[in-house]
Amino acid sequence: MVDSISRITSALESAKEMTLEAAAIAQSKLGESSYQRYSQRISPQSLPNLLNSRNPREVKDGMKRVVSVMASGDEGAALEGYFADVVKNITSNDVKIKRLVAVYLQRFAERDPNLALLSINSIQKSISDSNPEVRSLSLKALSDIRVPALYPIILHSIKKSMTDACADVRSTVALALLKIYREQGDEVADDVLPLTQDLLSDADPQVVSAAILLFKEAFPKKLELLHGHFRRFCEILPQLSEWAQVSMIELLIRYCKEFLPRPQIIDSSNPSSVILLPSLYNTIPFAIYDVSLDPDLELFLDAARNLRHSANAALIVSIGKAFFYLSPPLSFKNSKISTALANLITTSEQTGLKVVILQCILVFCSRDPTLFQAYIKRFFVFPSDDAMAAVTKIKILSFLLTLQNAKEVASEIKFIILNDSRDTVIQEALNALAMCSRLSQSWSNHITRWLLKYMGNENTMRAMDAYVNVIRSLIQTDPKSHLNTMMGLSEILFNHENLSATAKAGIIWLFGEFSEIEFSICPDVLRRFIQTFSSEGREARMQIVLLAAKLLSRDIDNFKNSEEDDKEYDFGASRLSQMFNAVLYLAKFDDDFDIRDRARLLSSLFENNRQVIASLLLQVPKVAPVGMKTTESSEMDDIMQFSALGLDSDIEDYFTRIEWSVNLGEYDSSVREPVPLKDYSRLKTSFSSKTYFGSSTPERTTKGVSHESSFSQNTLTTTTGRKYKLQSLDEFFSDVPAEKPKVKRIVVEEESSNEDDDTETSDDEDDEDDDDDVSEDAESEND
Amino acid sequence: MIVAVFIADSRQELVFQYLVSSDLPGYKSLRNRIQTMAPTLAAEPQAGKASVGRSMEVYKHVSPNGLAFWCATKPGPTTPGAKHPGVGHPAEPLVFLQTLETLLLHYFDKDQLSVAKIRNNYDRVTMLVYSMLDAGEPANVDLGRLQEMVPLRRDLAKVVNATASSLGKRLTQGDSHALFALPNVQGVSLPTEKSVPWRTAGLVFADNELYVDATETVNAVFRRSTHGARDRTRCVSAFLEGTIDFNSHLTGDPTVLVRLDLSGHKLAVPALHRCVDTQGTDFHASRLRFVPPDGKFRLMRYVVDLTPGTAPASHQHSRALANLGLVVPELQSALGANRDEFEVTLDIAPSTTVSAVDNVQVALHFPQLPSGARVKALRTTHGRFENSVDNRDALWLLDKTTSTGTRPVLRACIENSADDTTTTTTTATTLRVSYAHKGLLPSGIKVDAVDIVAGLPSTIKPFKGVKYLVKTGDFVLR
Repeated sequence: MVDSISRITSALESAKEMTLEAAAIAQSKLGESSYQRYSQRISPQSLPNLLNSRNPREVKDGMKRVVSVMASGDEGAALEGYFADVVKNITSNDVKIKRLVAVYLQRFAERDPNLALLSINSIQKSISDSNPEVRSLSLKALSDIRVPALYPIILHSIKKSMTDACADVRSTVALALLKIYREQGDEVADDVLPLTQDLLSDADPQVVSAAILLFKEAFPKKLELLHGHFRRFCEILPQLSEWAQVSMIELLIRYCKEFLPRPQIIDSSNPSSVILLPSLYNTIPFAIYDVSLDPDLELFLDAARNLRHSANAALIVSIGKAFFYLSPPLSFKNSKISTALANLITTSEQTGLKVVILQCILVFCSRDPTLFQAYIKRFFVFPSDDAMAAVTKIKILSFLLTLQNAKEVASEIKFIILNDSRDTVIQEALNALAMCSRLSQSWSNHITRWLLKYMGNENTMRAMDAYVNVIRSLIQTDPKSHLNTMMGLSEILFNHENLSATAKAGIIWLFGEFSEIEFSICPDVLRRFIQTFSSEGREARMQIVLLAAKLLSRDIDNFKNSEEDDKEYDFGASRLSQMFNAVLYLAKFDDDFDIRDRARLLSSLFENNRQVIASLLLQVPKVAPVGMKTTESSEMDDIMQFSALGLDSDIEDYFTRIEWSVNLGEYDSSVREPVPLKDYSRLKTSFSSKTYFGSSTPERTTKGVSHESSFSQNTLTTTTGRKYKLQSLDEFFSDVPAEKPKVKRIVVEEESSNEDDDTETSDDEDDEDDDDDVSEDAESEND
Repeated sequence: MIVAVFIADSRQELVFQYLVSSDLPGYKSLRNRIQTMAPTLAAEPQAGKASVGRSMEVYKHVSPNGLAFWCATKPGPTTPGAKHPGVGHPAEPLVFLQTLETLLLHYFDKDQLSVAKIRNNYDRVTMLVYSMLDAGEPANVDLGRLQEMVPLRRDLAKVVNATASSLGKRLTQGDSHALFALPNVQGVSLPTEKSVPWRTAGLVFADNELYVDATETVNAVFRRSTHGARDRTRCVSAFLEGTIDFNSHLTGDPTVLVRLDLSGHKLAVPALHRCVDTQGTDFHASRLRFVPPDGKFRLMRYVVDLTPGTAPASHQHSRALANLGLVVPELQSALGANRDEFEVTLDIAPSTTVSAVDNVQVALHFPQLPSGARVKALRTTHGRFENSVDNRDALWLLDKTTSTGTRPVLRACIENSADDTTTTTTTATTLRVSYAHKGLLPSGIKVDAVDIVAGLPSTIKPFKGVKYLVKTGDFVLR
């Protein structure tokens, strides 16, 4: 009401000075586009007048104009020039104007620190405003000003706001501390640390949400500070903001690795054989096994699993990571997180998110393909997938390949090779096809036949290098059975007009290597190339020279092996030697100095009885190309494999190995006894969880027999807790007796976790009651 | 840490920018950098990420109407053990951009965000981004909370419109008493305690209403294989992507129970809005119980997998067909006297609830044709046929609405060149079908009831509406 009256008065005031321009303003109130037209007509000269006006409406128009220019990215407008005019409006009573000024200050304060200092006093004053929104805004604005001289003042204001009754303000405090820490680094660490601890033990989940961001960035190594909070954090996980949930899970994963004992794997068929969770994911030797987790670890994983219905993709990925890092494949499967991950990638929207999620799935699959076996069809490439997504999908498919699904997958991959228009995708598909061929001998034969059949296809021509590479790897792994393939290749070599030089080079190289297995067919290839040498491409010519040398060296060796007595190899009479010389002669006149050079080098190898060196150089057994999947698994391989996945660097970092802590000798779960909470909301009115789900809240279930005993106690504490609502904290602490044994306390905590589960975020207050109770308990124990 | 947010239109012109500091590069210089360092990301309507310089990453998200949402991040501290400077969670910036887009849509209550809307509301969009981000972290992404901080301007035009529409509504309802009642759209929010963090406290509405929009996107790939004379089609993979959007304006803090008829599907781990209580013992995807946030939000997103990897192929095909919706494409090749014609048939099944299917289109893709060759439509029962310039794609556009229970047919062949009337036996390699219709979800999932079980005064009878929409994603026959 007061608001509207003031509006009317201001309207009357402006009516006094009604001019043509004012009429335009009045008209502009009709719609936002006409307002925009009006706003755009505000000239740079008249802007200061508006900003300095006494009429809040005009100030607002001015500020809107300033922010619009900022947002439109108009670099011509010198907005810094209005600094003083803008900043003085921070004293305005209108929150909107304040906020607009804060946006301006954030961007331009560093440009003019001296002028920025002028505003500090009024901002500081409004930190003690009665409106929490203003307090929070002022604190945010103050900490956004990156002027080093100000940091002590800001820190002081922050400390004052630490005990603010409004959770919004306290969470702004956490983020303000983060900003200061970013600017000042370790210089302020000593100041920030105790404040961070206080914020972490705040009773309000919203504050914890902000505090966790601060903690994660400022003190990532001080995980021991989380001891007293661990159990509570697991409980309030669903109540945190989505972004804090992600950070919290990341943080607690590291905490668990550091401070919790490794899970034990128990063989189901033989319960006496128990091993620790192996450091390599998929190396559990038992066919069927049970998992024994530390109760605290179980608490965390349960809490994480309960969030799997979230719509936030980052969160789902984090939950997957938690299970991947902290539990065996069995738990990962039971958590159904694979389903949630697989559901995320089906969206056809244009978002880079799909690639990120696919890469995470690729990491999981590379460690244990069975995790996503059931969703294999989701990884078939769809027309709307972009190149990166398609490539990652094909990589995943090649991990999921088994003899059972090979037929279907192979036909998908063949389709991609023949129809896709993107080179990278075709290349990856060819690699996947090579993986198919490793399944069995018959698959290998089938794939080679297919590859030869489609060699001249328009599409495969584009990825000829990869194509030849795949054939090469196929032949190299089992050369003996591939005589027919080589015959086919020689046919392609001579009958295909538009085979690229690199492709030809690859095939020629292959013949050089194949000479070891079947010598007889190779000289003929060389003979035919001598005729066309000059018209071949550079890479092909190079390989022809090399092939000639290889064959000659092989021929000399063959000769020596067949003749017992030390007869000299007759270079003059040998056909191969003649061909070699012919090639050398041709190479002498080559345009490319590299080829000329190479030819001289090779020719010198065969002079003066250096054939041994020649055969050493030219007949080195070549290593088969490294595929993505290797069967053996050592730690080193694990890392090698990881880098072979071709992930983006940020994803690679994200899945950095974290080792389980080895020296948990003095392991003691009592360090995770809850610590006292800071509850600043005692003045707020209470409400019960009934308002959330109405009267028909389902009966809460208890988890086990041990919980039964404490159930009545729990209700008791809740009711007493509510009774103390209006007392001060000190009174509250002094009043409640503290004979309850410690063990039962923990149970009470778990009980309240159940309660949270039922009612999710609504019963903050209820929760606080319990927490209060616990804190009071812990404190009295300290006494 | 997010240091800049940009929105650009489909021509890559800047629409909106938000920078936290004046020494950051503006959109233009950043775009130049991206164009040199990550040309693929800059050029196409492609989403993704790229690294520009040592200490800056850019992320891009593209909205359905072509607006590009960019954000630039600077690395935080290095995570212990990592090789590179810490960039945090790899998915976070992209999720933020997606959140920003949906948030703006819901804030302005639009289905599509236009450039003009952003330009007209520079101050609001700036303040929204400012309120969302604190210390470069998405500190506050709750729509209700942001609406409190940055109230939407309800200008005169909107009031006039609201009045007109409510007058119209009341006149049609014949409720003359309420004719002159105030069309108070949004009540005064009283400073009472919030019951749940996502709901604005003390809401009062004159018109209580709630709408449920259930949308499913059909994704399917069929493969055609020629066995003898007849072509056989087989379903390679098929799944439905469903979303249930909720839009409500209800007084107080009501608890809503949405009951779904899942018609036999198991919705494995649907993604739900955080307001849905998933922890209770009686939680099931068919009974969603929640206190709704005010306004629009996405209640649920689910995937119905019609071809699970484990089921036998024959069973999969029939199951997929049963739930694929009304339109099934077919392609027959080697027809006619010279066996050089092909025929595309769309089987639009009859339905009691759906009278017509909208905007049916079939995009045909051909292998590389000899030069001069062109696709010639011999007969079309519905719509028209368009050839593209590069001769590898053609489009069969049906009328705006095609009634259900029909079988549109396209018969065509490929002529080698204009003067030479000989034809080749090549046929289309892929058909991509798209359509949309209302009234029935292919999966058969229905909203059985939307009950307000608690929290709403019993005198208020809210208006409820349910809408079903179907569209196509990747619907391909090849």
